[in-house]
Amino acid sequence: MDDEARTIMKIRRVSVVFDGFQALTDVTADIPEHKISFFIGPNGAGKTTLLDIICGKTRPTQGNVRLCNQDGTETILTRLPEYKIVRLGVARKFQTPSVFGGLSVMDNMMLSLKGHKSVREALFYKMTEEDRTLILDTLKQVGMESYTEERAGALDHGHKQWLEIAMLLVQKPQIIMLDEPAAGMNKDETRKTGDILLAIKDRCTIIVIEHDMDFVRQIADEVTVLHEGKILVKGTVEEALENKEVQAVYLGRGGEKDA
Amino acid sequence: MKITQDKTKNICFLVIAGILALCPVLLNSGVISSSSFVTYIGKCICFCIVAIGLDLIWGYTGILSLGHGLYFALGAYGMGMYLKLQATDGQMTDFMKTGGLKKLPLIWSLFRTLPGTIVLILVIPAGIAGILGALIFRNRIKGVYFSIISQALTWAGYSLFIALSPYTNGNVGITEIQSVFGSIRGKRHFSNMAMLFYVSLAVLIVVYFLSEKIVKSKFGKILIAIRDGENRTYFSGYKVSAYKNTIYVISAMLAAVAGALFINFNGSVTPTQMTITYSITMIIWVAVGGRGTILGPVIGALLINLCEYNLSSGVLVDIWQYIIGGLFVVMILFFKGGLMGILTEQIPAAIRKRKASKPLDKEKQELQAH
Repeated sequence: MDDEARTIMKIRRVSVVFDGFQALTDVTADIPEHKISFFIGPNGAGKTTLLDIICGKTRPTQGNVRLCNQDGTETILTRLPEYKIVRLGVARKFQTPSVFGGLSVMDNMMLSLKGHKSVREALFYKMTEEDRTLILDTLKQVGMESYTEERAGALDHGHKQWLEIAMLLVQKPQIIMLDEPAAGMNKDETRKTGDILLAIKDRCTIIVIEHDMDFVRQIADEVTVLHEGKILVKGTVEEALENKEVQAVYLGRGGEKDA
Repeated sequence: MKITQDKTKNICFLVIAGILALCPVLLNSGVISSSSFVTYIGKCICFCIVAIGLDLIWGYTGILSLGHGLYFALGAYGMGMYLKLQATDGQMTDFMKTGGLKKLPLIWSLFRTLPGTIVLILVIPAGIAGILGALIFRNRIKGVYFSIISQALTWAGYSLFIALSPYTNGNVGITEIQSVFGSIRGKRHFSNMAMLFYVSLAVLIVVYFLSEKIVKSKFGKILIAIRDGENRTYFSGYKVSAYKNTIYVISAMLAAVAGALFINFNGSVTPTQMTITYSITMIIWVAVGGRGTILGPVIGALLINLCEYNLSSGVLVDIWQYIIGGLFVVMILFFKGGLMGILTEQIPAAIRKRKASKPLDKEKQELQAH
């Protein structure tokens, strides 16, 4: 592991309280650029809430999240509306596949392209050859170049997930956040998803939430274990999994046999 | 396949428009005997326009507005006041005098000329929809809450127009007016009627193709995206509220245009047009015709109103409302795509199924024979 990696995002002392329930407590983390960082932990550990905070869906009660720009300045994400965070290059995939079911795969990708986001631009937008090439190239990366005219709603679960990943990639984001991308996938599909992520990590930074330990072992550069809203351990996969506390947390809950 | 289907729909629309265009001709040559029937078809054309507008926001964007009667009525009142002022030479009307006004209110004085009226008919509903929409959509009010608010708004409009009797003639509304082209009653005024009819039809054709263009553009696809996955649309970098607001304004303007044309045929406008029943009837046209297509609402509005014309005066007069209500429920429950959905999806799917199962049947028979 290359320890010289630049930090691209700083999560600073983030706490969230929902009606008295402490979902996250004082979470601080640095996300290294061009790495695949995992957040794991039992249900209710606050993993999804953390992603919600980063992408602007939920506001933190305390603390903030900062994006470190190339020129050394920092942008505080936790004050921006979600569409502006997206425009800064922070993209997110939700747990359940959320593609636009009524539109074709091509249109799904077209809507995800960077730029042309205002009403006026959208009314007069015409797809350029350049955009089309970019879309086809991106679809090729997830192995879906032959699906352009399919209705997204008619795709099977795996292809919906990959389409959604492609929709994130086509925005050329700095950071991609994935919420349980392997959920509901079989072993082959999970492996393929892992390969896709490994292939793109030299172009962007990836943050993943996952339960599937094989998937974590396959691709993780760094693992952070959350438990009851707090960071328990942070390190490599081996370090995290060998940790006694982590084992107790997982096994204590009836256990995921892999952990 | 998809492209040919779009073409078929457009041709279908042009055929419908062609048939509509024949109505005045048929009246003139005596095939249709009642001129009031042709006036009625004229009104139906206006209903088609408001139905298209409603479909843009409901069928495409997934926002159910139960208050489009408000915008329809605003358009009708605007045009109505212009026509009334034509009759009084721009002076105060009787109801204003009875209401104790000393001179023509400033707001109505703007409706003295036709160009001014046309501009205001578009600008006022657009402004109201724009401001309301900005407040509603920015605060992320959606789904049934939006529907309830839109319904309350049209009630508010209704009460306001009744309360402001000196300005609006209260319950009675604006009556005893002629169309922009003069009287359209009876055979004597056939040419006026034909002129009004063709202008309205032309507006419908323009609105149809403009809406087709809107929904085929990237903007239109974003509307569908909002309907199918609002969250994803936000996280694809779109300011969803701006899109919702734009389509709400466009749809309100279409309703106002429809209202303005309608009053020319109808000869009067009353606050009843702002009641909830009226707004819901519009929704039924769209639901029955088929939301999510531009052709659907046109067919729905024509079909239901033609049925109403023929059925609601005979033996069925008492149960007509029940038939319409029942039809609405059946459509929503079993045929989400309305008539268009039945024609373009359910029937082809049934045929495919039939074709697919036939060889199987044969195999079965052969098996049994052995």
